[in-house]
Amino acid sequence: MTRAIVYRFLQAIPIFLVVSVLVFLIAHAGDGDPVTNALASTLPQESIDAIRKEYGLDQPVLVQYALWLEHLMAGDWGTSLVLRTPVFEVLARSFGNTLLLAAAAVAVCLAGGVAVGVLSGLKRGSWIDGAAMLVIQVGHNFPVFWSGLLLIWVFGVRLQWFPVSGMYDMRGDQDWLDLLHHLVLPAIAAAVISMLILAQLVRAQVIDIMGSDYLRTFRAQGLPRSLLLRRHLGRNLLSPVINVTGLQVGYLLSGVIFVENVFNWPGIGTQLYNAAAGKDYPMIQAGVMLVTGCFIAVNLATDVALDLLNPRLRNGGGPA
Amino acid sequence: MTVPGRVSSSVPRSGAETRRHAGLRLAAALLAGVVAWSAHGIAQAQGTPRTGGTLVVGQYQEPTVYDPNRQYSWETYRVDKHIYESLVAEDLSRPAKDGPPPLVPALAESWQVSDDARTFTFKLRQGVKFHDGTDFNAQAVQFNVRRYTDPAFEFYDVRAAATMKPVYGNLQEVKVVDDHTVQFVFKAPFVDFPRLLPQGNYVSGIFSPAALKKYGQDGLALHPTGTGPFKFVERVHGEKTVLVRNDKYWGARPYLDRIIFRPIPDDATRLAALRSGEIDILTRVPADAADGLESGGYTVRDSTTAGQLFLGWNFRNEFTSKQAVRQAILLAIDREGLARTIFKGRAVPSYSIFNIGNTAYDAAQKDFAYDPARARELLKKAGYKEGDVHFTIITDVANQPSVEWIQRDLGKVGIKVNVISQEWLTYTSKLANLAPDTGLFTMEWGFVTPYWLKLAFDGYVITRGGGEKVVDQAIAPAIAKAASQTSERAAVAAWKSANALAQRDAVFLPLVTFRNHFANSQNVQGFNVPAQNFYDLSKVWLKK
Repeated sequence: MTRAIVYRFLQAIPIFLVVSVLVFLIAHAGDGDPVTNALASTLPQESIDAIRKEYGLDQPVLVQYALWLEHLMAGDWGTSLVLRTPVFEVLARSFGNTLLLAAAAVAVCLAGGVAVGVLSGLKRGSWIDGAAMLVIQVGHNFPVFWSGLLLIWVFGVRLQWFPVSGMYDMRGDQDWLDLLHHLVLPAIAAAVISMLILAQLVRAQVIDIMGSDYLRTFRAQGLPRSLLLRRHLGRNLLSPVINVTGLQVGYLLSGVIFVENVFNWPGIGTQLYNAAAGKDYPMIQAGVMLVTGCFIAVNLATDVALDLLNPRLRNGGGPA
Repeated sequence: MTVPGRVSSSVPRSGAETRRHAGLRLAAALLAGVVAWSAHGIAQAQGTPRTGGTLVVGQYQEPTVYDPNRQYSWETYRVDKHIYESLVAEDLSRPAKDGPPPLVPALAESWQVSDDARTFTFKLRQGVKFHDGTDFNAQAVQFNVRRYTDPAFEFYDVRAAATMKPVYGNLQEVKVVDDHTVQFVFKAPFVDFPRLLPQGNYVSGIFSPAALKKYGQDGLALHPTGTGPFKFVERVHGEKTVLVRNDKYWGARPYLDRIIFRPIPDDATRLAALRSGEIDILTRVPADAADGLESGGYTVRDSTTAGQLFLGWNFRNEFTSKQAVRQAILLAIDREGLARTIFKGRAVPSYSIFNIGNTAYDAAQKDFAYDPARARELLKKAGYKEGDVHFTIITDVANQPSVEWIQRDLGKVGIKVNVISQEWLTYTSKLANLAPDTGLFTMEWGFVTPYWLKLAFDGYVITRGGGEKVVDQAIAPAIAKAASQTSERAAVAAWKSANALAQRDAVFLPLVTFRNHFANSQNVQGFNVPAQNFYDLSKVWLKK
């Protein structure tokens, strides 16, 4: 078991390194360097050279990469070329906000997807199932920003149940309750598509499991339904749910970036978009590394969770 | 809401003065009376101002840097004008329809202009302290000015110098006469200097020298320290900037406890935030939302005559460097249609770089009326076939719809346009070095005095556009002549004739003046939008 998990961790390291090289090179592939782009007509060449030196842009690419990786590991992510503030200050906070929103969205996705899926799977063919299927078919075609705007209009502006922008009420106490209140709409907007996809899968699995031979046998032997649901349906659902959720996190993260825009959530999406448009190297590199790290971590967590759930791995041995 | 004493007590008493200055004082005294009287009227109409509360402003862009000498956007200035003050201010409590807001004393109690309009002597207000507790005095002013004018100064800053050059490029020296008197001497007449002091570009807001020494050139923007009615608390990128009342302010005590500026770039979200009460004031009302807001009980402010949306040319581009092409483009764009359609009639088409609120504005002085047939003819005569002329227009996202309108109109006369639209900070970071395929770039401002023509010409035609050798060589001398007049009134005629030359050569592309820049909820009282690109929140109060 431990060996399997360690093996997974070791696998993640080269992926991280390969991505770091790609991120570094892609940022350098474009034409011109940012200092020249920003200052060419306002400053004399000596000043530009001095500033380029300050940022280490005069060094060979390989040296720049080594220095960058070293600094990245040490938590020094450089200074944003456009904002002129430390990248860490801008990104760490906004990335935290993105993670929070993404986590809330995953929670909504899991809770909603499993609930809807199990319910319509067990009540297959009923009106509940029909309604759920209709919502799923129609709903997962709506773009994220569209459902976001719809939520804002109905629950924010019309009913005024939930706030529509930012993380806190600027005039209020700004405590965690306030934060939860602000999280509701964006988390739903970010989760909705993944939630519907998950619900669809869970429904299919439920129908599959409930119709399987062994459950029919158990039922014929007169085992209580609650026991069947708990011990057999629940456990057998766990693996596919975790698997799909792990896959959906990637989709969810990209959806979160749209949601951040619509709900003015101060996350990493806008910062990264602007950084990419402005060739703000330190910002792009740190930001993409953060997101990549996040993807790798989620994949790792999914794999490890699946390993832990796999009874065949309980008594040692590598992954299948 | 102005405390009458604040303005009238600042009218100087000394006997030695130039005649022009006497006139100015008389005007200031009269003005103080009028301000006090009209402010009194407003206060009565709205009830007694209440102290306290937090005002939340929804901005359409992320501000740049809170360093007066390095910043470059209106949304930045709207924040930090409450932190930093200049020697001279404008009376921003006057409604937009009154025209350019008159100059009033601020950190200087009075000032004198020499007859040749080259020497300006400012008597500074005494007992004023910076937010960090250090003294404001003549040495502090000199420190500020040397930061961007004196390469030999320990705290000289190249970036600040590049930004401030249009105002201080001709400065000969800045003298400390005594602790509370400072003198600026220019190499040539500069009658517009006092008017330039309280403007939102090339900002002359005074920062604390101690703060700059402590935090460094980049650090000042992170720890902005001035003398203004509000103090900086914190800034979180993409989220907010928080200011609190300066209880030791030298002037009338502001009513608000706190002001929070929130960047909300998405139009729909910003509107929803106003409607759900999360923000009190909204910047840049989308034209198609104005009617709905008005019928929903919000006040939509009709203003921004001090600016306009225009485009600058890249004179290094093979097509837009040609006069015939520039003229054809001006002829081909239906500016009336743009104002009527994209701006839903809440904008006025512009045909001159002088904005409506400029003292040299003349509605009859137009560049080219809409005539696509003549545009085609000009292009044909210049030897271009359908699709030969092609270039890129770069813009910030807020002006993308207008640029797409231009793209469509130019397509009709056979000019192919590619549009690149970016967020403001990113967009402006690219402006300094235009790519050769870029033909035009958007800009959004204007000015209260005709000196604007020189700023726009130097800034956009020569520096940004690289048009020094390309444009009509008579323009620069005509502008220099107008700028060196020693009286503003005599200068207007000279400015207009310089503008006529610029118009004929099509060196600018004026587009529209749009008017609905600000909206506020009924809870906001005492909020005035003057004929300027910014406002003063120190007199604003909240009903509840």
